[in-house]
Amino acid sequence: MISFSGDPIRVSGTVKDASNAMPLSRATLVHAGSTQGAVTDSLGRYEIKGNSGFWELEVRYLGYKTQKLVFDVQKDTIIHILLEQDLTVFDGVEVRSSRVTKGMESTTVETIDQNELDRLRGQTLGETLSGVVGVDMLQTGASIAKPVIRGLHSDRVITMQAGITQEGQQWGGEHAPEIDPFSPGQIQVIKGAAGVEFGIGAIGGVIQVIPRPITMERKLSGTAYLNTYTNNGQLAGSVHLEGSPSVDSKLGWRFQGSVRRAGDSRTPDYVIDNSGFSEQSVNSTIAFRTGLFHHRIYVSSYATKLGIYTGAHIGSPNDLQRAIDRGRPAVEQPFSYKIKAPRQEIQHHLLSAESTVLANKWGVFDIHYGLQLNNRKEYDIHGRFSRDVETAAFDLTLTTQSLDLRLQHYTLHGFDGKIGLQIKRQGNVRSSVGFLIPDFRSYSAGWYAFEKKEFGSLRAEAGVRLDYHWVRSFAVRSPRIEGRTDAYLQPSGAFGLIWNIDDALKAHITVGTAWRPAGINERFSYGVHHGTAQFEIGDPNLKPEQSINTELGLEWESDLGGIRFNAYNSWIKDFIQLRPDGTIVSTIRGAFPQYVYQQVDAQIRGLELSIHYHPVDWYETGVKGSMLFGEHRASKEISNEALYMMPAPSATWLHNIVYADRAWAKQNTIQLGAKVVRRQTRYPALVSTEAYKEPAPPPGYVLLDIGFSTKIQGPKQVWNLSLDLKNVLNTSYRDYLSRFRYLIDEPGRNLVIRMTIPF
Amino acid sequence: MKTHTTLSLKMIAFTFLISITSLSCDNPADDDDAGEQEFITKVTLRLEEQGSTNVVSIIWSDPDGDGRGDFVGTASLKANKTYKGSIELLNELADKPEERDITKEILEESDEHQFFYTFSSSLRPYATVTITDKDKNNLPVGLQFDVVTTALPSGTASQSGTLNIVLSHYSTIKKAGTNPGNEEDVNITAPVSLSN
Repeated sequence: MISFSGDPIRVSGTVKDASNAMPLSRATLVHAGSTQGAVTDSLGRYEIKGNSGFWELEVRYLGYKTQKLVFDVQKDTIIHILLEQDLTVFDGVEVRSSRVTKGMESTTVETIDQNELDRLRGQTLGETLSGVVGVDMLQTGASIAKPVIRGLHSDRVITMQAGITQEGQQWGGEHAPEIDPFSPGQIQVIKGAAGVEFGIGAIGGVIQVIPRPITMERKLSGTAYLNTYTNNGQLAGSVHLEGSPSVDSKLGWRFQGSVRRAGDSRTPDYVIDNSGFSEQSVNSTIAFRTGLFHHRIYVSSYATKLGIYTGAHIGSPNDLQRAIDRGRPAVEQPFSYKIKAPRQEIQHHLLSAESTVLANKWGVFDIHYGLQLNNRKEYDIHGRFSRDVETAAFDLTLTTQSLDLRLQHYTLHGFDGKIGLQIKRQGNVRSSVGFLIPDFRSYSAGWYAFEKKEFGSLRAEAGVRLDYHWVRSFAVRSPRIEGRTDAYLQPSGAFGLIWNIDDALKAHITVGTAWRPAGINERFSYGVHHGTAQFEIGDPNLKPEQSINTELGLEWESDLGGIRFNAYNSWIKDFIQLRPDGTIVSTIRGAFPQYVYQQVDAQIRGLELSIHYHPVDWYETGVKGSMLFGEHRASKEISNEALYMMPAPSATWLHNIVYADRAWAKQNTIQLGAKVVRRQTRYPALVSTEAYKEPAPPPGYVLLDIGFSTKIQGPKQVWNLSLDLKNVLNTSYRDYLSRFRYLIDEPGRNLVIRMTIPF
Repeated sequence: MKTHTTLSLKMIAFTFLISITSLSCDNPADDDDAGEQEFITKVTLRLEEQGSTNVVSIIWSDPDGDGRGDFVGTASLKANKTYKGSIELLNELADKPEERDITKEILEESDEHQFFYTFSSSLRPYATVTITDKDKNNLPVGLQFDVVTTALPSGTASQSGTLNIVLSHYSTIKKAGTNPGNEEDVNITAPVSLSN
């Protein structure tokens, strides 16, 4: 104990979270150079007594950046301290928003924050992410879009929602992720080797959909979002309500409801018949604390009905050739909001319950349970003869339960790290006449450990993981499929180095492995795939895919701008792909080329570059671009060849001009954008049969966008208003990653009006 | 503190209780139903030779309904004959007996369907097909038809070729009598020979 000469001086105040002003209890404050210190109480209050003079106060709280304050104290002083969350150290303690499972620090993570998301609300997840460098969009008509990360998608990309892996039926290229575009507070895209925490399947990367944090700031507050799209007559709206009934911030809640409704999209020349959709979603969250425990329960329900362009429904190779030759709808239909067959109806229900405890001796312990129900129904264009139109051709229900346990230990001899255990149980049930995939049941268990340590300007991190996956597929009478059971045991790992060369320049290198077992469709497909004129045959004996991803990155950031550059290489052993094998299958609808799921050794290499520069306050410009080559290596059967449907090189040039503030409108910003997509020149040999010839990829295109956004003073709070004109020149174009690229153009000019009204 | 901890542990336990009780809906199983992969498993053309009791049958069959099907043998037609033709389509794997006969369904929706019969070029000079039935708009249907054969050139004992049978479906495109529909429900090509 220090002895005081005269009356001690009192320094008091509160310690709160900088992002949401929630009090932090049990934060420690140390007056450096003395033994004086304090621990905050449940309301975040502290009091320290000491001598007058310069104080050096160090404030620590687990999961937050340690803050050092130096100040001159001459009398009793009140100092309120705001701590910033340190997501790089311990992300698990941040309990009001869901735990964010981070990838490694040395991986490339692109974050779309809430402000940016608000400028993009109302679009699908695929469209929202298509602005991220290295992310493209796989489309099935105007209503269905799914993200492609560095050329990979579907089962090779993991989507996480509210901290758990989204278990939709993602094996289909025409199955979009079931995410309400109004719900995320933040979206992160982790590209390439994501680390060891995500489990089976993260070969291409991870998309993290992170709900907004619960602020517990006010009794009741809310935000309303409204937007309209002129091209397809889309109207969308969402209301968020949140509150905290008690002042001590022990409980907080949120409710959100969203609706999107759109009619047919329009190309510059015609209406895309039956391309409308309808989507409803609700979710609610309750977060509360009991002692050292933090709990969070998130429940969401999502339903969508997606129209599929009627002209894409074809019966035979002859039909496909005729549709290609027409290159536009056979019969032009007027614009309509009606969603006819063919269509998809999907429901996704999710329950996520999470408890975190600060265990004094160990660190942060986290337990997370997830339950998901996913139902997918697909309707054919007409009841083929005997079948009733109102009966789904396919009706599949996937039920998934998962349990994640994780311990993030306190810093130990300079090491920070975590260990975890993940268990999952899945069942897929078919209740329809049409065959797509057999029923299956699966169990998986994964264990991982991850540590990192700093060595001067170098930071190293490494992780290992071991997974066991068991799957039983059930017998089908027609087509004849035997039931069988398969089990896989597979290790994986990741290693990364970050070198902070100086304050502005940073380099990283990451090497990681990932794997996934063959998908149920890849193993058991049998029959004609509608719309593609392919007779597809699965292979039950497919081995798991295994990848080794290597990435090199350079990042330079200064006051005037910055540059990010990445080069990556992925080797994928036993890459599964659907290839024509030269056989022609005779069916009732004609002779179809036979496509089989084959395994090849593939390599995907790519470059990504983004530059931004803001020489003056009112102007910022940026360029981002990416290109990749995907090919499979030569083997005995197949010669070296490009992989099918790899994204073409593309670049975007953006300008932001901030206009002088007016009394009634602040932060007036004009945004100009130009996107250039080249023709894909690397593609596998085109299929040619007697009835049908596969066309070459469509030509490249340029799209121009103009946007304007402003903040206007509403009755109580500031409203955000934005106008975006997409495809300003009403360009007719087709994209290689669109499944309907041979049949119809992409949508034309679109004026999007968005309003955000807090209350 | 202690009570809080106990409360928290109870809550966690409660969550698992919910999880265990929610499992009832998830029961994958072997599929014993007759799956309806494709909806036509058998096509039979019956050609009755006029002025005789002779009947030529052309049969396409996919008995297990897995989509792969083929013709049974080669049909032999005689030159200088008229055949009264009819076509029958069956789904032998349908659960309900009334759903087996697809011909009836086509008849009921005859204004949305049309058959096209096309001989290959080797047979076209010597064999023609004329559709004899009409829908409510007086457009051809093709469930009933005539096949008329003429003499092969002298010195040719027999000529082989094919007969292509297409059933066009008109759901978005309007049926006009000669145009193809938006979707082919049937497109099969039968081996046929013609002899003097």
